[in-house]
Amino acid sequence: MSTKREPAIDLDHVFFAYDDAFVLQDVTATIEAGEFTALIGASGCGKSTLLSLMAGLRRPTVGELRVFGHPVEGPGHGRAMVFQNFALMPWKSAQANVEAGMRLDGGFDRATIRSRAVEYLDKVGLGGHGSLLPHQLSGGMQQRVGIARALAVEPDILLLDEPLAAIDAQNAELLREELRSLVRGDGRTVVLVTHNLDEALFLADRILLMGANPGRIVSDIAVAREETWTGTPEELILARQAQREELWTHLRDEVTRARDARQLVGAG
Amino acid sequence: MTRSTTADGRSGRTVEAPPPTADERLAAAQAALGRTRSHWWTRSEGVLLPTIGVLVVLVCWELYGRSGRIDPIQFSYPSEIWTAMRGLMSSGRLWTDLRVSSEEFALGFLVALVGVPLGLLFGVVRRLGLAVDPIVTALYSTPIVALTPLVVIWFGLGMSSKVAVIALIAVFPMMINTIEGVRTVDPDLVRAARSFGASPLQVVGTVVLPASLPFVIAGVRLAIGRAMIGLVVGEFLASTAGLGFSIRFYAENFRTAEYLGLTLLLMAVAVVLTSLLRFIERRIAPWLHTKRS
Repeated sequence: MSTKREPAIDLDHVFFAYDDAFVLQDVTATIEAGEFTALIGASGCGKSTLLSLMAGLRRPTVGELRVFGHPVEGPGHGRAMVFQNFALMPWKSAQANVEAGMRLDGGFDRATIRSRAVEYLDKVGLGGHGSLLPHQLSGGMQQRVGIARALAVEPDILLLDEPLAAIDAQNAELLREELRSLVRGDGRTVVLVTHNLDEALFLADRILLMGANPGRIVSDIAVAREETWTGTPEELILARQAQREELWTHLRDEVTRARDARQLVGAG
Repeated sequence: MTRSTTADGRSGRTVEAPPPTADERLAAAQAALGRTRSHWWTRSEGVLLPTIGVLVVLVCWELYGRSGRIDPIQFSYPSEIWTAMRGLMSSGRLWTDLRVSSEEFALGFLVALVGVPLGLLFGVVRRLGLAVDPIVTALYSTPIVALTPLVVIWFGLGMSSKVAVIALIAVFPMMINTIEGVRTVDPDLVRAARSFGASPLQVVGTVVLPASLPFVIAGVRLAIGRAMIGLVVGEFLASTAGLGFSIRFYAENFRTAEYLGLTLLLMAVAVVLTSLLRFIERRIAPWLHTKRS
């Protein structure tokens, strides 16, 4: 990776427990401003919980989470989230859903809300579909509304919780490319939770691999990217293949461990 | 593809017909589509079949009545009922009864609407909801009509006793449905609103209330049927006017045609009101209607 930047998110020995069980244990990491980070790991390793902590929807049981140096007390300006199941209000049109995000965020006047909703719907390829209700849109289109809603508040930090997991494969592929061109290189800090290794490699600058039971960061890998690569294109391809293999080796171990742990619980 | 041949008139030889063009194939496919497209009858059967069903029953009932096999004390038939109702209309009695019952119903229902904000409160404030749950469930399950004599003792023979019975009977379905509506709100919607910095009050106003609205309307629909029973029972037991009072009066005087006519009128009012609410439900929650269909 390149030069050191301002830390956007600081996870300082964070623990989080549901009831009596620790879901996250001693998670420490720093995500730099403008960095695109992917959180990847086996099911139940606490990736989405960690994202909820970053969004301020939950508070750490122990430890501190800071955003641009300030402890996170709750959801706040400058952060926006995209949800796996879109989380669109079914009674509101696509445009009204985008407007609702800005309205709840506050700090936007009525005219800005209106014009920005149109602008961002246009950016995600939904210009002219603003009056449709979510049930009249396909899964891919609904997620585009979700992305427009998050981008319209122009957040410094964009949190993506498995945004392509509930979309059919072809539309997910399309949206993945669009997401890359929408958010990569615009200076925004992005944290993506995904199960998909190739998606993480395609989109992220950095991958944090999480282990389960309890959730913790087991590996931190800077993705070889063409923008920063100094070697030949062939070397880049080889480097990425090696990274994929390395990540998959780690991930396979974690998935197997998580599966065995579940079987033990089931047997118990 | 089958090969078609035609006889050449001049030479008498059999020649092969040219294969159909793309346009011809499209025209043939469209013609086939026209044949398979559902008939107007199939498309309108949702309206036609119930109408025919009702008409058949009415005609059979009328014919049976006119055959003289119905004892007018025990039962009646459509044309007799219509004549009796016209008599009630011309005497003005029907309008008085309708006015009295409508006022009681409207006032009682208006009071019962308090169940909606209460349900919202019990649904949103989880601990409060848990505390009142046994009481609300017990009262919802109680046949409130059985308490009508007590209500009459409290409120007297006037309008207020009927208003109270209707309110008591209608408040619980509305309250319970609203609580259920709040409890079934998609948690992701709440998370989404909160992630944009919505305050608890904003979450209720922006997400919880609109998301529960279909449940609230369903509760109102349920309450209408129950309130109608409350109205009739209340007027049966203690009143000097109203549809329930007249139904009882005509039943006791063996004027079965009037008695049945008024009962049918009540039925029609209930059907119209619940259909109206179904229509509203479809308008405010089209996504639910699409899922169901």
